[in-house]
Amino acid sequence: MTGIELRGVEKAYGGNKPVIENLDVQIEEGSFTILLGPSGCGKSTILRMIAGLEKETAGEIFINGIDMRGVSPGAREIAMVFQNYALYPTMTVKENIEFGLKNIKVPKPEREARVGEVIEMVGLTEYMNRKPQHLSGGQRQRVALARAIVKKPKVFLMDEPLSNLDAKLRAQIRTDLIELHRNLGATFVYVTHDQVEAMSMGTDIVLLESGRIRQQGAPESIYSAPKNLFSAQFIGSPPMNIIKAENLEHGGASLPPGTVSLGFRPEKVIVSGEGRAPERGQISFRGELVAREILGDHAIYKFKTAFGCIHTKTMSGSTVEYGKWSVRVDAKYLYYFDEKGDVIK
Amino acid sequence: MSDFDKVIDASKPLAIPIPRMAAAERFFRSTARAATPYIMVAPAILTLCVFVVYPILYMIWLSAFRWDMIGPKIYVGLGNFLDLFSNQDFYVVMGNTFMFVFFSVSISIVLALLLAIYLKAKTKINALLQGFVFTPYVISMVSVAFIWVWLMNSEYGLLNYMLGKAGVSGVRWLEDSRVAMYSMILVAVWKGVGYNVIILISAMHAIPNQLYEAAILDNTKPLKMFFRITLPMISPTLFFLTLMNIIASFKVFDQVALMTRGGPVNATNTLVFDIYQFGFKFYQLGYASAEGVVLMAVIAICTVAYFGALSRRVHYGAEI
Amino acid sequence: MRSQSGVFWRTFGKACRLAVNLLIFAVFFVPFYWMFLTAVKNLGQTLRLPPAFWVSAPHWENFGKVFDAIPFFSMLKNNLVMTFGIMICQFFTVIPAAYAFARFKFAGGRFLFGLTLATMMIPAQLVFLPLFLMFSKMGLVNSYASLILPWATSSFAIFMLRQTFKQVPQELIEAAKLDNASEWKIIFKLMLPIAKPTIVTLGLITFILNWNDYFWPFVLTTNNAVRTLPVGITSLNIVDGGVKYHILMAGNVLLVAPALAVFLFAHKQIIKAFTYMGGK
Repeated sequence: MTGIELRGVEKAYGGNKPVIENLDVQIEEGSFTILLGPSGCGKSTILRMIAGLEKETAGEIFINGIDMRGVSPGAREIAMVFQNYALYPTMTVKENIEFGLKNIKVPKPEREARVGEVIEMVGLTEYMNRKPQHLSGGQRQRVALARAIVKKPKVFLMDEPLSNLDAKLRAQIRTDLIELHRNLGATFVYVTHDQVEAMSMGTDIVLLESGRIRQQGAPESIYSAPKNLFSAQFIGSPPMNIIKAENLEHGGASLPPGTVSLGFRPEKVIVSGEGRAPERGQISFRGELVAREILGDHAIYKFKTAFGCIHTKTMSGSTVEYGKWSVRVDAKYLYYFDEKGDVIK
Repeated sequence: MSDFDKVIDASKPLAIPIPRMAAAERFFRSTARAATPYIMVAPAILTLCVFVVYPILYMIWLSAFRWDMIGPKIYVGLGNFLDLFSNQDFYVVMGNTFMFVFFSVSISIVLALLLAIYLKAKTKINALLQGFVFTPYVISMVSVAFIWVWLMNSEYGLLNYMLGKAGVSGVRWLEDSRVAMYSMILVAVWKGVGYNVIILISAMHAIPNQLYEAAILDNTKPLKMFFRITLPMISPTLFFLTLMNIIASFKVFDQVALMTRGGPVNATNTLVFDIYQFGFKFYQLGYASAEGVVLMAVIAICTVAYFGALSRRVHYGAEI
Repeated sequence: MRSQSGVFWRTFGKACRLAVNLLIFAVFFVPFYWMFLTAVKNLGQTLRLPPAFWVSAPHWENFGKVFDAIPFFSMLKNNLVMTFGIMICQFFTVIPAAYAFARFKFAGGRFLFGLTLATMMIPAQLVFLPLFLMFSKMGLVNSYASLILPWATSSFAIFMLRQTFKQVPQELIEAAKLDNASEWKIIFKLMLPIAKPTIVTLGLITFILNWNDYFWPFVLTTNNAVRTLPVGITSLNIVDGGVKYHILMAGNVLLVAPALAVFLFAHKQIIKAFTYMGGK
């Protein structure tokens, strides 16, 4: 058994109702697993339980097949990157990085070599003797990463490490992290609420809502085969369009039995002239364009229709003018959801 | 951002063996962890118990006995308190104490307020004057007392010499029972006012400047500015400073012991000095303890007022 | 016309300010000047009217007479032992307690912290009598123990330092735990360096208050064995045949000079420290 495994884990604070109940998660060794979900879904709590910073109320956590009960955070062969970096303010960059090695008494020559190597790797050699408060946000982020890398852990835990950076830097560090993951071959467990980060970096996504797993799988499969309304709407930008089926019934469309709502992704929508009739196997809505965002390589439009608002995303060049239009989507791109919100096959 | 193109060899992981712990060891470790905070607070808590809590309880217990430190303790119940409250001298002592507290605190606070307004602007000369005003506070009361005993010497003192130039002669600062207490108050204010000044100045500096800028745009007169902006904004500080001053003044001893020894004719005898006298000079330890209980009650009332106001202030803070 | 009156008022204002500045200066400086001046007068000059405001031939021998009259250096040593003894004890009692109160949730913790806060308000003037009896029963009157032990901890310092520790983000401690740091290492390598400004401030306040303290060494000593300077100097005030003010002031100068020197050297830091103390 390798990787990380959570079996029947429960977490409750004080005497309150548990925030996480009977949770089973399997994290493959060497994967870049993303714990994704809205705030309050328990994703950070799961990460902190893996780190041993919080104690599970019930259940077991295994890292590489070993029961982690009673194992202190430091002895779990993990490293963690915090949201606010948690750099030691009174230590220099170098001291920050070597603190962990000193604590486990790595001999000085080896320590020096490893610290030097890592500092060079993150490109902070010239800032080695600075204190964190004299570094920029991006530099602090790199110190935090270096502090994790230097320990050569089997598992990297990251708790929203990019949320304090500006958008440009975030995009850059995303690719750096992918590269780092490929080079180190270690297991990455990464917590975020940002589906873009999840889709771009993850090899495996665990989508969470209120302490429960709604879907787990590779980014492509979560995108193309959402299991339920929650994952359909959480992944993708703008999110999947959802239309109430009862409204649609009046349009005479035939739907699988039990369908309560149906959805389609904005990028699958075709916009055409108002009067144009739907082709075979298509579903069509008449609507008015009320807002548009031209983003260079693509554009996002918002149409008001009798069935609710529909977002569309087009990659093609010509801009759609404000006015009345017909929006169509192929039936093969439709997803049908039952009353519990689960997908009907 | 540099590129992560260097490969770190992850096949050689750190040698941190993951311990497989026996139940007994697990129990031992968790017990040790649970004991840590108690071990950490133990030295401080034990010291406080032995040198603060126990003496207080002992004093309360002792206040129910008549004892001269040598003979046996005789239980008298509330006898010492009855003695206390039927003793004319005790009322003199309490009167002196309250007078000292009232005048030294009120004068000190008002004077400090004026000085703080006068010295609050951040200039070099003000910083220097603040330093001078604060100096007596960091000097031992012993020095301050002797400096003033000498300045107030009725024959050769500098004060009377200068008053003589102004036509007032022969003030017997510390020997005249009608004057002595005011002399004590003067010295107390001189020593303590600097502390109040720097605290008030720092409170004034904490007032956001926009308030004053807005007031200037509204053509507010300086006096109105003080009463409408400065005073309300520093009022929490002012209140706490007053309470701290009151508590500190009730404890007055050094000054009395060094300058007048409670005289002349008990005119400057205050509560703590009286406790000392009854305990260490007359060996009436029960009576002295009863006086101690009275002092404790006074301090307790001030403290309750302090924390009551503190919780109110926190409440205001949350509202803003 | 208008501008003329403006000039007048501005000049008048400046003159007033100068006058007030001089008054403040006189009130708070002249007493010290008078002390220094008297310390280098002889008896005749001290008792002369009108008094001299300058001495052309200072009588430095007054200081020698102070050394003859009291065991000055042994008292200075006692002062140092008491002050630094208290500071060292507080270092070892205050820091772990403040850390535990800030960082651990433990049964009884709130009660013990409440107890600590409650004792903050209890002054030496309230406990000297029972403590004297306690020490005399143990034969410890006139010992360093009786001067130091009652102040071996400070609830005020515990409270202040706890506030500082509480402001340290939880994440930092978690990061240290992941870095295999022990609880003691977290305190000494991480928390103490962060809390250093507070500790320096508290140290400064403790030093000044205990160095100057008169009350405690006065009531807990009956002879010169462990008497400190502030108490020792007072015996210059009790001399048969009238107080020799020039000798008393010379002793006073010796008592004040170190404190004044420290204050001159670090007055900004000291004022900041006391402001901090009153700000809470």
